[in-house]
Amino acid sequence: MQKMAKKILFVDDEEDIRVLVKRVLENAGYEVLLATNGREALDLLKKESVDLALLDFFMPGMSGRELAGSIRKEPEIKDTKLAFLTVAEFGVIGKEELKKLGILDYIQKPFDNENLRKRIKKII
Amino acid sequence: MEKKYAEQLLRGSEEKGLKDSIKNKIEREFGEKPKDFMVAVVTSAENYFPTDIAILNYLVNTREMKGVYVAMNKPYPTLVKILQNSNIDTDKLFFIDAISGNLGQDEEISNCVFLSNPAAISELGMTVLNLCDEKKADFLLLDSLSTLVIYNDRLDSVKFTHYLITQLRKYGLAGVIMSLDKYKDPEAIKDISMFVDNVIHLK
Repeated sequence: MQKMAKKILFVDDEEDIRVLVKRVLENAGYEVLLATNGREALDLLKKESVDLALLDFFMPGMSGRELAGSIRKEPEIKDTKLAFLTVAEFGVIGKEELKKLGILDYIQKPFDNENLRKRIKKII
Repeated sequence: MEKKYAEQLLRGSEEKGLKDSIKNKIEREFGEKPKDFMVAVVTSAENYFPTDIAILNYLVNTREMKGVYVAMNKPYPTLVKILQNSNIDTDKLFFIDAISGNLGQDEEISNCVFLSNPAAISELGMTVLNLCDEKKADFLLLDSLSTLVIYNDRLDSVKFTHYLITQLRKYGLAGVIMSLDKYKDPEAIKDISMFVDNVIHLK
C-alpha cells in the first residue's frame, strides 16, 4: 500500500518563490498547498489539515509573526507545526518570540534546495 | 527660541520627576550593553523628546561614541540647535535629514545630507550604507519608526528597518530604533522587535 504524502502549506507573497519551493518540496515527495497571504493561509488551514505550515515573515497585511500568533489562537488549528522560510535575521528578542510561538525552525532565504529538504524532513 | 523649546520640553518632564528617571533608565539600560548593541526604544509622545536627548547624551557625551542621526521628525537646523542647547556635542554626529527636502539642499553643510523626502527609503538605505562604508560612526539612531510608517506602508517600513539593522550588524555598529508607543500601525514595532536584542519601554 502506498504511503500518503505529507502535506505542507507554504505561505509567501512572492509568486516566484512559491513556484520554486513547491517544485523543490514536491520533488521530495511532499504534497504542497500554497497561500499568498496570512488571511488565505488561515482560511486554508481551517479547511485542510497539514503536517507543516511554512511561513514567510515579510508579507503585506499580516506579517509571518502575526500569522503564527493567529494560528496559535485558533483552537482548531493551534497545534499546527510551524516553521519560517525567510530573509529575516532574528535578534535575541526574536529568537525568544519564535520559541514562544512554537516555531520549530527558521530557514534562511536564499536557501539551498538540499538544505531545505533536510530541514523539513527533520521537522516532519 | 529653540533653547526655550528644548528647555520647555525638558522642564515639562522634570516637573513630573520624569527627566531623571528617564536619564537613569537610559544609563542603566545602555550602560550594560556591548558597543554593537541593537535596541528599540518605545516611548509615549510626552517622553519621546527627553528620551531622545537622554540617549544621545549618554552615547555621545558619556560613552564618546560618534553617531548617525536619521531625522524624520525635525529638520537639521532645528534639531542641531536643540541638541546643542541640551549640551550634546553635535560635532560627533552626522545627520541624515529626511524632512527638509529640497529646501535644505541649498546650504552646504559638512555633517548633514538631505534626502528628497521621508518616503525615499532607497535613498536613505544607500546613504546609510555609504556612511557605514566610510566608518563615520559607532551608532545609528533612527528617529523614528513611527514616522517612517506615516510616509511608507508597514511592509516597506519593516523591511527597510530590517535591512538597516542587518547592515549595522554587518559593520559592527550599534543601532537605536526609536518609536512612539501609539501611532498609525503599532504592529510595525512588534515586527521590528524580532530583529533587535532588547526593547526598552519608557511610558
